[in-house]
Amino acid sequence: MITHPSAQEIVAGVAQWLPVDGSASIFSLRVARNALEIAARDMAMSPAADARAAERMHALLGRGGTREELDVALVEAIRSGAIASDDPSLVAHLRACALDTIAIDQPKYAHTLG
Amino acid sequence: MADRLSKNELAERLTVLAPRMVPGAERIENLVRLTGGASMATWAFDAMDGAGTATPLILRRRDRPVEYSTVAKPPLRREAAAIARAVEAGVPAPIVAYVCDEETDGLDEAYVMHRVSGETLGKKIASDPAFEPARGKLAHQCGAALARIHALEPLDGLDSTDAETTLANYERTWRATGNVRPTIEAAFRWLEKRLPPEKVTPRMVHGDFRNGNIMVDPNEGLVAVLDWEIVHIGDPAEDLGWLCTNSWKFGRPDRYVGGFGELDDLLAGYAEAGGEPMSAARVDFWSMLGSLKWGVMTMGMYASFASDPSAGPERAVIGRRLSETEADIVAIIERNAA
Repeated sequence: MITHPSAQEIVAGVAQWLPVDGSASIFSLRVARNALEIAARDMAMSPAADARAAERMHALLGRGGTREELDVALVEAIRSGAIASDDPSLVAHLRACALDTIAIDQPKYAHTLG
Repeated sequence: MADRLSKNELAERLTVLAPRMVPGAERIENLVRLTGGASMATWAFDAMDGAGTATPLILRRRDRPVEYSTVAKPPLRREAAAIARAVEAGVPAPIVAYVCDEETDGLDEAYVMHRVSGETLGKKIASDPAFEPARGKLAHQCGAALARIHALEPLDGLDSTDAETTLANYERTWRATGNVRPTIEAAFRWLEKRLPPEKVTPRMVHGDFRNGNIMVDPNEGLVAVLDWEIVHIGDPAEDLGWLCTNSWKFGRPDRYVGGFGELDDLLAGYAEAGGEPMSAARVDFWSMLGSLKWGVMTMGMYASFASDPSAGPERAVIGRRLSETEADIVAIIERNAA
């Protein structure tokens, strides 16, 4: 799940910063627009991405729960060694998560995941 | 503590020091701020002699307290000493003209170096057609420069680290963020399993050798190695891996070295200039650690946003670049499993 910052923190942060006296530079306005675009994509795309991730983690961990709960359980399983960091079914899940997350956060980033 | 100086105050103090930077200089002209890093400012200016001849110079000055880093940043005085030592050994780097006295010069931590011309924008170096000739030789040149840096007698008093300590430090910092990301957890465990089995001979490493911190001529290639701010003692493979970390390929992840070159050329340049044998797996280990390091650093940026959102959303957006490093981490796990 994407936090640090959450979409809500981004929107609230832009509102708290946005100067209404016209003093904002063009650069900082561009940054703010980019931030709001990230938050908008997050709100539009995260519910489905979270549902897909939860479904994959049901299978991986053999238990149910919200994405938040399952992320915590998966971190614990990787940390304890119950699931190896290069286990193919884990890596397939992480790949799907990475593609969903990058589509929200930085869709223009040039990476090598096909 | 570093003072905020106005441009005029800065110009006045540099004028007083000009003869110590360039013999015969009487004043300075054309002072202009180039960049403000996290804690460092860079200024360009010319020292002028009585006949009106200009010597182009650069001032590096710490103007804010040092920000978070797992390697303690050495004083600028030591950075200048590292550059001087590297130049002597044939590493292309700017010649240091004067190191400021923190007590008497009124510029706090600062030094002055000769200004060389060349391109530092990573995107141009990776993609501009004009830089095609440079791209053909740059990886080899970087390998040679790194071998020469790693052969230097280390300066006294530098921070020392190795893969295991670096990893443990980043893991502690990551845990403190409270963020829950299985991919980052997997990266820590993956690296832990692949820590160098034998003791690595520690070397003086540059610490921030990447596209963006090198100056490049379109035809001649490498002109100068810049940003010696976090020079330290460590595993020499750290420098090669950081140069190959995907975060610094500026849209060209298909080229393994800095978005401009190939690993074989980097390793050949390294070996030909006397570097120790270096395997591709060792470089890839450090490129993974590089991605992880940048991922953890984005969380420092987020924390700074969260503590004062009124400063603007720029650092919040950097927090959302953690996902870039996750894509890179998964790619590295996959290519090493193949």
